[in-house]
Amino acid sequence: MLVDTIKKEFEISDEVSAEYHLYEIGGSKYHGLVPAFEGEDIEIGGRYYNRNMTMQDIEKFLVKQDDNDK
Amino acid sequence: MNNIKKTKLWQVAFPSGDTFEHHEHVKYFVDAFEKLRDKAGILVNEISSELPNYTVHDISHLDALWEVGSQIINDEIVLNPAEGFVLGGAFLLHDAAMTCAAYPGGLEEIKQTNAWKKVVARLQMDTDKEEIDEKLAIEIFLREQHAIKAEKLPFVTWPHPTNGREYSLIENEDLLNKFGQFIGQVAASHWWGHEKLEHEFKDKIIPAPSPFPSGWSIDLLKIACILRAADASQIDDRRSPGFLWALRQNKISGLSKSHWNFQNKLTQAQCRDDALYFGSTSSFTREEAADWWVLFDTLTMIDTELRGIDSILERNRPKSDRLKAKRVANIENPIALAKLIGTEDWHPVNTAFSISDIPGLIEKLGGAELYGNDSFVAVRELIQNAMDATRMRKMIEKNAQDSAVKVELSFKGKNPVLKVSDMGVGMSADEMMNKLLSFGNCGWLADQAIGEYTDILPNKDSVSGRYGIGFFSIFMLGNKVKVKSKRFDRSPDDTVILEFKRGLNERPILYKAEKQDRQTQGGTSIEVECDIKKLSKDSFWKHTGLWVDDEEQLQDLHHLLGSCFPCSEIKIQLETPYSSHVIDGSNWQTEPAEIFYKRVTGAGTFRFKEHDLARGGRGNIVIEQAVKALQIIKDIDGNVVGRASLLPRAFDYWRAVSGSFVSRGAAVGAGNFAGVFLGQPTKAARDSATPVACQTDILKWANNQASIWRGLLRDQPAEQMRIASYVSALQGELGELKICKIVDEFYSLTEFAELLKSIDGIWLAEGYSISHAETYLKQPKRCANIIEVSDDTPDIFSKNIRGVIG
Repeated sequence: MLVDTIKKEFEISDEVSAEYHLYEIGGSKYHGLVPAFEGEDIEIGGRYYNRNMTMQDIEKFLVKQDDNDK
Repeated sequence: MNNIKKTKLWQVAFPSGDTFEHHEHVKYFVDAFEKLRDKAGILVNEISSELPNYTVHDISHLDALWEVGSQIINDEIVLNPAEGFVLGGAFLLHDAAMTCAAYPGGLEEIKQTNAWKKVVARLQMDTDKEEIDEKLAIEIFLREQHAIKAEKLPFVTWPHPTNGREYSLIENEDLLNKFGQFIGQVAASHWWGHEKLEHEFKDKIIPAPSPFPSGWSIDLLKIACILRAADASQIDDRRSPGFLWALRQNKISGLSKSHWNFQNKLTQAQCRDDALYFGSTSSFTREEAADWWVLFDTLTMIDTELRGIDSILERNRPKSDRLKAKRVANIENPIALAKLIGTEDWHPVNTAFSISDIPGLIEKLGGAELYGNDSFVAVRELIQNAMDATRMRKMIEKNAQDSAVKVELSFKGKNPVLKVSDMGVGMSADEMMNKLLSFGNCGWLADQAIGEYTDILPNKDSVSGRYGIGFFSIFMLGNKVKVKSKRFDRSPDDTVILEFKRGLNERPILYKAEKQDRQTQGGTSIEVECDIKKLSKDSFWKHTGLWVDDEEQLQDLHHLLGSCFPCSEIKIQLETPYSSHVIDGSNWQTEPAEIFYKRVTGAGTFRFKEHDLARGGRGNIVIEQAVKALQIIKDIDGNVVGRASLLPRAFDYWRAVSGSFVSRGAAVGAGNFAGVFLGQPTKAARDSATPVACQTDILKWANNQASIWRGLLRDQPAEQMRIASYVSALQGELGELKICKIVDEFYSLTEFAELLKSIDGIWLAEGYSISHAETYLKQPKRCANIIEVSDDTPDIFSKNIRGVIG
């Protein structure tokens, strides 16, 4: 429900959303690290969304799961 | 007709010659038989048009019974002409109802019968489709009903379509009145089991009606045995003539094809000494191997029939009445039979699927392999079987008293002894062997099993035991098992006991109960001496200690049974050495919400209270809320399909509290809700289920739950989020429920959408990782625009039932 609301309000296209949420063997294709706490050098697993998100944004903020494994 | 008059059987029954003292009576019977034969011949000619797959059932088969009968009877047998007439009539009518023509109203008349409705319901149940294959339904109906109909056939009348004349098979009214019912009974008996045959006919030697000689009494058992033996043994090429086979070949397939082929090759049966010999006119090729095996199985069946008949006659009649044919020759193994009925270029080695350790397999499949390491399911299965038997009794006897299932727990030393008794339909010795001990065969739902009792159709919703394996779970508890039963319609003398002394490792013994053990009421009791060593390996036992002879330990047993049978209309009366309880789920729709909730979830147990107390009594607060949120769930027709509420996450720590899917009063699955949903079991272990409520009913409930919980959790936004995730998973409307947390603020869906309008980017972070990090950071301050999300989508309706306990 959160993602649906984000997609609607940020006007993210179906095509981008589909690629972004694509599941491959072992989990979702794209994966991100979230700088969760102010002043702490800690990043935890998560996803990033921005308004009018494009494929380039995905590549910019997130890594492919298989790249992450290397 | 002339051929049959030359047979030994005919000549014994109808002595010829004017010098015979009662030759006028003989002529009277013979004339009547000839007329009956003419009519029956026309009727049985109709069989082939509806059942073309079947081998010949016309008059040639009926005439051949005289010849086969002549082979199987003893040289000393005595049959008087009255018996000859009844036997001849039964020969003619035993299969004559395998055509719709036996019903004067045809298919329309058949469709009005309960038996037809049962066949249709069964086919619908098997295929899960409303539409049925009518031809198949007719075939099943005719096969299943032909013997029952045969009993009434002498009295059926067929009106002429135009002139109104009434036809019947026995036109001679005097003979019809005096012998019609005996012909019908003997004809019907060819389809009975041996036990019923003996029970019904052992005392039936009917004195001769006047004006026939007083010595001409009619022995129904002797006649019925001749009919059965002759009918079973008449499997030669007269049943499958080559030309007819050639004509019908496009209509014959599958197993029927094998029957046509092997019978086409068979010679007539011949009796030598005490054995019936079968031979073939040609060998069976490799391509015909399957047909040879069907023949082997058929001859094995004939052998069983002959031995069974001999055993009955030996017990009940003088030696002269026993049949000469007592067995089938060379049937002891396939190689021996191949010496009589040859195979060409192949050897009939019995390569059928064989299991070397059948008891071991049953023990595994009916026990831990199926149910997991949880012996309590055995108790549940026993109670469910007892409830099924009780329901069945009520279905048959509308005025039968309401009776409870009694569960008694006592102790023999340290070993608990569990006894479950009911006052249901009970079982005869045959039923114990064929239903209770037939692994995988559900007695109640098997073909015709219930037909003996009632015309009412037991469908898969009528009984819990659909898989026929529940009884065997008892060996998870212990090896010493005693089953005592009496069918409700039998006398106390017929109380039988089946005893397992060493589980499935040794054959059980079956015996009639001694006088002091006889039951006056119908019903069954099953007693098992539990093996404490076996139970001590069981996770359930370890957690609950419910099998220990200790008052405190046993006090939760009635709560546990209450949660296993949350909605049962049949009461359970529980007796332990320390207390008695009646468990009653019949008022589940109307009883006060708190009582219902605690009863069905197990939240009333001693263990729950102890566990909850250790966590600050949080559980009781949530129970109060859940009770307020409980709702009756109805389907579109207004039928109640559940009584349940959602539960916030805070309650998950106590696994005893979860909702149940209930089928026939018993829990058959569990889910992440509180209360009950009516459900259908999806597995033989009866530990998972799907709700009866449809998507629309559930959606309506989810929407109401969102609104109720929003009110109840006004000050608990974190718990609102959990409810929201459930409602969302059910695709319900979230309303103003809080759905997420950003920094320290909680947001509803509307509020979240509003927030997104004011920002350009947002992070979703795994909730578990955030919480984990916060535990070791000194002064954690979350970044803005980070939303905690749950790592998984909650599944409300799938949770293994074994999670219910401990």
